[in-house]
Amino acid sequence: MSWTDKDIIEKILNPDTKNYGFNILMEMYKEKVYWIIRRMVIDHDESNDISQEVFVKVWKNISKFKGDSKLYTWIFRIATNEALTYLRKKKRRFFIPIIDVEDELASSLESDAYYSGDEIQMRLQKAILSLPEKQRLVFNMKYFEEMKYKDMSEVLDISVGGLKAQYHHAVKKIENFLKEY
Amino acid sequence: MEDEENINEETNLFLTNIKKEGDFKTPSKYFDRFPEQVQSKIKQRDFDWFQLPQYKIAFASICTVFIGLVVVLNLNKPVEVTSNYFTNEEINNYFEEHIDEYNVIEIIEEISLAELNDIQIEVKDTLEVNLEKESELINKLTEEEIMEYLIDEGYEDTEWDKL
Repeated sequence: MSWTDKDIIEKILNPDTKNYGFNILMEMYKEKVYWIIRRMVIDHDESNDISQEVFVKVWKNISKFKGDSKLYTWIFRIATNEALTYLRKKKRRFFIPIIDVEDELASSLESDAYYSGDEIQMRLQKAILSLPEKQRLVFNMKYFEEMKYKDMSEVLDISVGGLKAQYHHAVKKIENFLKEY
Repeated sequence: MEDEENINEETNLFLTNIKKEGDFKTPSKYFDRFPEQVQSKIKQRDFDWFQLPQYKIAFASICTVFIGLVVVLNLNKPVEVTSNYFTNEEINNYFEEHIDEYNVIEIIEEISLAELNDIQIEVKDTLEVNLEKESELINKLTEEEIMEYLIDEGYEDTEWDKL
């Protein structure tokens, strides 16, 4: 059975079907949320904590969801905000300049037990990690999650034109990075 | 819109040689257990309701008011000094040196009824001992010695019969 946003929200807002409705929502979005966070944060344990936090926030704030946007763009907005907040906190906590955080993420990728990409995949990931945060997010959403620009625009609050430009620049930088190494 | 999507597809032709999936892994059955973990986190958060900022502020306010009340009540309470900290000799010495600073009424007010009874018994005992000593002394005197004493004290012959 395919559930509409309206069905899910109605179930969650009804005290008798609240848990059932929320489980449907998690089943639909848990993997997409996890992967968008994982590709930003790299580490599995951190991604797991952040993903759980995203759904806790969804649970707490679902009554405030007005239905102006799609449910999944609302959830993705929470997920991307949580991932970016985590990365910013990490920089502040350790007083690490931006470039060092990306280096740290790249080295954690090499030692990550849950990363098994081949050499070229590893190089691609390192190239992606060399991008600015927002550009990295745009690239991951478009390239890996294959999201439409319109939906990305709702999630990131950036115009479709702006997103296209960001993606174009990101691809060029990655291409150059891969040519150099 | 489709044409616009394809513009960017052309720019990443070199990416087609790279596999998109299979690089990042998760522990086995991770996504099966995920909803359960989230539900338990939500339950834990509901249990830890007092950790929410508004409850923390309320709790801190109640503690502050309680501590304030305790401090105010203790400040208004008279301080009790027990004599256990001083020896009787020290107390006596103090009163001997500072007796001028007290008046009799103040001292009497401070002495309890029990202490007063002890003092009365002590005075009574002393008076009885003195009377016994006096009567023993009178019995030992001769009539002549008594007459001499009375003349010395100024009693006339006519007044003897009145005694």
